[in-house]
Amino acid sequence: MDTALVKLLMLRFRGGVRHRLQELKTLRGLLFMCVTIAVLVLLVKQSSLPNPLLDTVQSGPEQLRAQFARLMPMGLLAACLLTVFTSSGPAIHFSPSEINLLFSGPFSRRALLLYKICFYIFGALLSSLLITILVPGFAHSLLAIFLGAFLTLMFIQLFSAVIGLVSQLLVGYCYVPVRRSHVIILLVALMAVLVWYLAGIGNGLAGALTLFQSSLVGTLVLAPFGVFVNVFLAPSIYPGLLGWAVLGFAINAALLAVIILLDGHSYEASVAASLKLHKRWVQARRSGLLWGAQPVRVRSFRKPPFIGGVGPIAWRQLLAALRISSKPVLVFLGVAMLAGPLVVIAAADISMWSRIGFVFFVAVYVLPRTLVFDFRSDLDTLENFKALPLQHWKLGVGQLVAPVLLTSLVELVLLGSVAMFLDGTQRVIIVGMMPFLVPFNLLLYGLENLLFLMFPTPLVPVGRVDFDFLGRTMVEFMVKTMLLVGACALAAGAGMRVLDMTERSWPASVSVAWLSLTLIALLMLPLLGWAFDRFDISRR
Amino acid sequence: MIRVNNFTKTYNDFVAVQDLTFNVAAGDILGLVGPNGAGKTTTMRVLSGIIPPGSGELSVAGHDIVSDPIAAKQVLGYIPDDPRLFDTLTVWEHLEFIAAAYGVANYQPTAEALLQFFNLDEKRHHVVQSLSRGMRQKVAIACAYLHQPEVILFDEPLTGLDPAGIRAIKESMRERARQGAAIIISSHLLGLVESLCTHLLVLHQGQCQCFGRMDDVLRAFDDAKDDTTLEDVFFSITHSDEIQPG
Repeated sequence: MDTALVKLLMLRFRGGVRHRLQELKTLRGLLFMCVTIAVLVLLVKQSSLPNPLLDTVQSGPEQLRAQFARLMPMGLLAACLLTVFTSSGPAIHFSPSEINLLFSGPFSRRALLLYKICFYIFGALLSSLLITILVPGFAHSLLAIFLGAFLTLMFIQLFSAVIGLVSQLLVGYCYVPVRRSHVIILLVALMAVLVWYLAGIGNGLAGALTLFQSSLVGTLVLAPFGVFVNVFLAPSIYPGLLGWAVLGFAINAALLAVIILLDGHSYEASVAASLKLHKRWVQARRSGLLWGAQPVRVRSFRKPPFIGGVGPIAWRQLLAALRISSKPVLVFLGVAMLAGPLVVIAAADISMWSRIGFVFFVAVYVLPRTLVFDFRSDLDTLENFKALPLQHWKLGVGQLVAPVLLTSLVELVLLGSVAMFLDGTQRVIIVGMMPFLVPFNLLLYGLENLLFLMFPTPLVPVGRVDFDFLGRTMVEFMVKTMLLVGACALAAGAGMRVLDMTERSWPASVSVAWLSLTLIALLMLPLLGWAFDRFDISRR
Repeated sequence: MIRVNNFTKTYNDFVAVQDLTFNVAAGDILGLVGPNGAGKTTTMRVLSGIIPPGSGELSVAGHDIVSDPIAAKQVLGYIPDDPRLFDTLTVWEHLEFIAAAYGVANYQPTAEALLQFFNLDEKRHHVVQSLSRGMRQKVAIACAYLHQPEVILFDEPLTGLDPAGIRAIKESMRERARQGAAIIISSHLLGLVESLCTHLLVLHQGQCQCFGRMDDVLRAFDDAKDDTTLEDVFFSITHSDEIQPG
């Protein structure tokens, strides 16, 4: 590689380290790093215990290895497909600074590609180090975990790059009358049919996976992924680990060769896609996840009534939601529809608490970080709202309408799907949870926005080892969880009290619990108004 | 020094630049003007090798930008409209990298002089992320000047600069031209173009509407009045001052 590009890599590495060290000079940065390390230590300790997520039966290393060998190829396949379908354009992206300074500099395209691949390799090495520290001790050596993680991460990156380049080449050379969204819809539909079919067989998750893996299609499709699984599970350094690692390297090298060969055909598209991606990053830094920041054309709809000034604010956010995140919302709705059959399939393999924990994590972390249509998406334009002739609590109401409604809709579909596959008391409980969705989400998004207005920061990390972001996210998640659980406990307590007083009248009890939760959620509105009042634009 | 012959660039069905031909000799400063979407930035980006041309012949200092891109870029300095730099690098580290990239031996005295000229001396160890837009623009220009390019392309060079910065950069452009560099300035600031450029090219909807020496162009449009300005010429060519009835 060009020596100047090697120098640039070193300078950027030094700059990154300097940036992190400067963060640690502040009390806040130091605290967040301590929190991050504390949580990592807890995770490492926890990972040495038996994993309840994978099996209801207590698992030893041998069982874990067997489960890993069974699940990992499918997981890798899913990760590759997800990377391919959630990325836009070629997977080798250059930042605007690289385009301005390097593309106009005296470098060959191949040198620039190698520079970028080195960048990815460095990122993959850091991630692999983290994985080596965190994963359960099922492998025979730490080296196996490190090499396995590194080769796997590189494979996913290179594989998606090759698929992106090939599809670009096909589109460039011949007219392809199939749009990507159609392919995604077709795949989701196929998956839905598969999941519902497997749910009907009733063999559980393990049975379904075995069925697929033993089929001819499954064997062929999963064969390349098996190499990387074997790196993780190699029983000895030589010949096991060495042999599989060399094979893994060879696969990645072959993919890299294909990228270099094909990339010359997509030079311009690469620039365009890189700039497009950068715009999405800028949007994502303001408004959450990257894949939730891809604008689509949606026609405007009629203006809503004024409703004391709340209407126009809510209308604007709903329109933004449709234009920016209609795809993620559709994906969430699709996944929510599959929740019922998935619960049936996974019932035998995944414990109830793991399922509840997973749904809680999605509801409290993933959805609010994806459906960002409130104060958090307006960080750069909050001064416009300050100038509006509108009371701040009303502004808060308008800002919360879109995320609360969309999240509640996704969760309603999820609960409905699950309820269809359950019966008796379980179905009644699920249906009984439905009215609580709106007040719960009002409380959740109220808290999200309250924390954001009090400590405004971008919603995505800067680089891989952003302690400030990691620490802040963990602290926020813990605070939110405590407050949400506390509020739900209060509401449930009020409901139980009424149950005792009314000789077990469930409708009265549920009504009181609902009212209690709603009142607590409504308390967020004046708090939001207060937080927006004290938000100082000039100090941002 | 810069030769562009029958250059055409399309994006799918959209023709960004059509059949463009012009030359810029050593020591000349060409002003590239036109309304938004006229094809100015596309022309600059193709000349700088960031995007490939559709068709036509483009050469920089005798090097074809398609068949011999690295030699062409070796003698070229490009200052984009938005000064994107490496956020975590300091001002001096940028110069250090550029020196390595273009093989500038003993670059320190030149780099020091540039820092002083652009009043960046005190900021040399600051990461560029902490600088104002105007400062970053100055860093981008200092980087472009460091290897003494024979061809310099400026895309909206004065955005975000303070009056002192504007004066310094205008003076530096004149000085570079005096030293024999061929310069292209793409800008909407017609006053700047008129005061600085020796030649003018007006692009409109991807096509060349007018190309020649600045004096000749102004003279060609001075039928109606004696003190014809570039602004008069611009609106006369592009008709973009006509107010459409609502």
